[in-house]
Amino acid sequence: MSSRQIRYTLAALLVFMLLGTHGLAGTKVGEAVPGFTLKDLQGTVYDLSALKDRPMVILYFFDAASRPSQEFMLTMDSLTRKYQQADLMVWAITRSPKDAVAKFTKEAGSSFPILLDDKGISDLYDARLILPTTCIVGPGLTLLDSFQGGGKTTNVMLVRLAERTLQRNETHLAKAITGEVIKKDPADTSARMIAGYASLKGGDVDEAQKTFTALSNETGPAEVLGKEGLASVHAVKGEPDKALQLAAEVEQKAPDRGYVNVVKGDILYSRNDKAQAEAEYTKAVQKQAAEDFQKATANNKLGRLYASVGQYDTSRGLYDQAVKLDPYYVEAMTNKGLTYEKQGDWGKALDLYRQGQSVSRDDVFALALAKRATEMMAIQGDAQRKERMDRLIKDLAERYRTQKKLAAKDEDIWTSRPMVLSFVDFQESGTLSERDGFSTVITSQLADQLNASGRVKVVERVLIERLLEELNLGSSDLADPETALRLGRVLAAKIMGTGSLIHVPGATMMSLRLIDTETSAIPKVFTSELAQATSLKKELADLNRDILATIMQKYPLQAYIVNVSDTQVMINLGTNQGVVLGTTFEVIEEQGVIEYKGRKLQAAPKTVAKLEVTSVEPDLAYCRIVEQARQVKRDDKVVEKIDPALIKG
Amino acid sequence: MTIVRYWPIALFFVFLMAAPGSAAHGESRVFALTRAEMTEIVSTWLKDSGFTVSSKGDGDNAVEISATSQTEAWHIRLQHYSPLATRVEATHTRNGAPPGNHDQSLWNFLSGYLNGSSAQVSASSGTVPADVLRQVENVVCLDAQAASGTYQFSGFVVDTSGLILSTAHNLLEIEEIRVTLFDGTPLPGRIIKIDFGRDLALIDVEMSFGSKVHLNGRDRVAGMGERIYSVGCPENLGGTIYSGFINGPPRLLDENPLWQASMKVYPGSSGSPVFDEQGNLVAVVKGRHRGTDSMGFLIPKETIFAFIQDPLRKTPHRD
Repeated sequence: MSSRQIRYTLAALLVFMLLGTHGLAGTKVGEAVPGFTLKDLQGTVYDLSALKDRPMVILYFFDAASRPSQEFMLTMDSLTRKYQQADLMVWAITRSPKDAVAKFTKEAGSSFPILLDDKGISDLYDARLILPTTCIVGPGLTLLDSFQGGGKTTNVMLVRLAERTLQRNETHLAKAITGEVIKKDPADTSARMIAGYASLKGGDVDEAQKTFTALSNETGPAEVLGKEGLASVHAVKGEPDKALQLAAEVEQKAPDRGYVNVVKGDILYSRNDKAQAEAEYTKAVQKQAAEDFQKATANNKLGRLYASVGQYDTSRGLYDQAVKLDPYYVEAMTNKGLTYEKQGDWGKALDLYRQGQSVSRDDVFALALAKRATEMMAIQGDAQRKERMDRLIKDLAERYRTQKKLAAKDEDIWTSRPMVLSFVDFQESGTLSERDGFSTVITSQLADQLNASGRVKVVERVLIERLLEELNLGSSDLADPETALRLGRVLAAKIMGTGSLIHVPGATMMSLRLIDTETSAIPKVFTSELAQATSLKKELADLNRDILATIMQKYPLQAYIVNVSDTQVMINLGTNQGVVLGTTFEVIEEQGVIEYKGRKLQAAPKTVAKLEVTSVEPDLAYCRIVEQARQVKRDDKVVEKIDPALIKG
Repeated sequence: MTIVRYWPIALFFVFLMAAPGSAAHGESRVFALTRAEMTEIVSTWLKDSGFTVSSKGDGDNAVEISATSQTEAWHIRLQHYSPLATRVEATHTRNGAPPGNHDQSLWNFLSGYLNGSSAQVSASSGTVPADVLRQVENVVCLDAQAASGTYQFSGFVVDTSGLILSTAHNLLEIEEIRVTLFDGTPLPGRIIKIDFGRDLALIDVEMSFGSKVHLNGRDRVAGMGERIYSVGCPENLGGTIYSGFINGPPRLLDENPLWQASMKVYPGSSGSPVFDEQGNLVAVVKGRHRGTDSMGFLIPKETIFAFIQDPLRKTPHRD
């Protein structure tokens, strides 16, 4: 072999090895990985296709007898034991003999399956010559990353895994993975940076600040990454001037780093300087030096900005780019879906919400939006229902324009009518939130939960949206309380729920007002900080509970006793009016008016018995007598009584 | 808006509505959660524990949740109990039979959710041997009242005449001890022997028990990598089981050996008995490694023997 041939051979080998760290021989990043079916030591069959709905799978090809080859496996084993709920799926695959695998299993006690490769699957994954080989497989079993070799490559791979985990909002796990790397190499800048962003995303701002400050006190790339992170920290802490100062320093030292332009764009947007914000987001998208999750954020933000001015095609292109950079970017997926929704294409919108659910099954936005899109498609596909709704909308719009009152009520003014509540979209302000559709999701979730309580009926959102469309009313019109109240009266809603959302970096402040449409009184105002999307479900469940308790206290059900038998009391309210099993009532006796020194004083009603609902029909409920001071009788009045133990203090 | 404020409500309802017992027998309890929220959290809990979950029913009818895994099944019925509370009726089986005499996992999970507990409770008893599950009724929850506050920890019956073994570090200058038995019965306790060095105490209650944890069931000590199970009252969730394994060589603390274990340890876990797969006592949980809830320190059985045999003074004061 001539020296020239040797040089070519070495060059080819080098190219081969370099490619090995970026993709498999036959599978490129972004393509589906080869399928397989293998067995473990016990003979249990494992088929990769069974994991097609998993957001992330790690395939680890290793040599059971080689210590360096086991290193990553032991790290992952300890992490999977510690974070059992993190949905971390690892399959280890080996060509090693059974006895070596058995020895390793006995000594290490692995918590994930070790599959015996007797079918040459390792070859398909380019994992025969260099071990370990690690493949991070993403949604739809597509290859996200692949790494060959142990030692230092293990750290590089763990940092990448941490970044992927951070993209999935598993901030604790991302921190734990970077922690393993930092333990081995305390100077690892990338691991420390990811740890800082994991703390920030997880809400631990102080820890993030500590991490980024330590980095910023070093020199070279660490200083830039530290200051870049600190700019985000100060933005979250509500210190925009400090954030802008740090952003300027980073731009000066490393003009090609783009994430500080996202921070600047956010601040400018919150100051209502949308043109400058657009310029900064555009710079962030164009600059090349940034982590993938940072570039994805830049694309998403610019997409949000274009969507807000109706440039849906441009925004969709940016959302696509965001998802390409970050395959777990559920926010960009639902944002894109909302652009289709706004153009009336519910089918495409639904596809994107489902895509969002596939990468983040518990995402509140994807769930709520998918449910709504499904309902909308059902209405569109049901000609009769659509016709009924069209008629209703026309009738309601006419009533709104003429302010015609509803037909007079019947003579029984004591017995409760169904408690109807209606939400209109919240006014949104502040910085450009990462997610579109906040108001839609909040009102849809609250409506679902309140309807499920059986106590309240919430006007269908689609009805309100269609009515607003017919009346040509926009969100700015609804900021006028009188307009909202008029709308509520037309919809026969006793209570209107409306409010505002102020987006700040890392959180959203919500203020929800309940307004009585008959009296214009405000029975309750709720304020709350909605933090991360992960805790949104819990926060909305708490809010739902507060709303229900307020309605039960301020608007208790009232009824008459229709019949009394030996074992039960029948009242003239049922599920149609909001009675559910376990509802408790007091039987009351109204007291006369006392005249004292020329004034008429009304004494409070006296409670003579307590009832608990044991079965319920649409218009009637049957109660057991819990206690009574006198015999209850037909025509006695009853009032719903909420157990004090169920109301928050 | 935080759920922490609800916990007295939850306890009120749990004790008001239901006698303690097992979910395996279709027991029902009432919790101060709306049915919508209850449906959501129970379904998520089952999914997170590896079950395939389906549910049906809505509106006026009860919501029925069915969950299955390879060997276990849950059937949970959720019925309104006013708009703000839900009656939960549950049946849990393993290989078609109740998983143990006293399956508390669902009730512990719900109580934990209501009081904002960080302790994780699994819906699956899949890996817990029946011999360990049988020990659940021998475990008690302890509350020690001292001038500095109330301390909650765990203990277990070692003599049917009413002797409870627990850790000692919460018993310094205490004024009152309340022992809550597995069936919820509260009893006053009295320290009769204590050793702060070994961190062990014997507490007497006026009650005869039908069973106890045997101290002499195994000769050899537990070894590195051996699977073990703790049964205790983390964050007051009585009868909660965590599995783990010994992952470090014994170390000496003030001349007393301690094992390091990879195992969930939460506030209140101290004093939990630790068993091997055959249900033999091998150690007592001393506490957790600072800054983590997944690594604990255990007091080995040899120390327990030495403590029982050693004549010590009975006053609860540090030397």
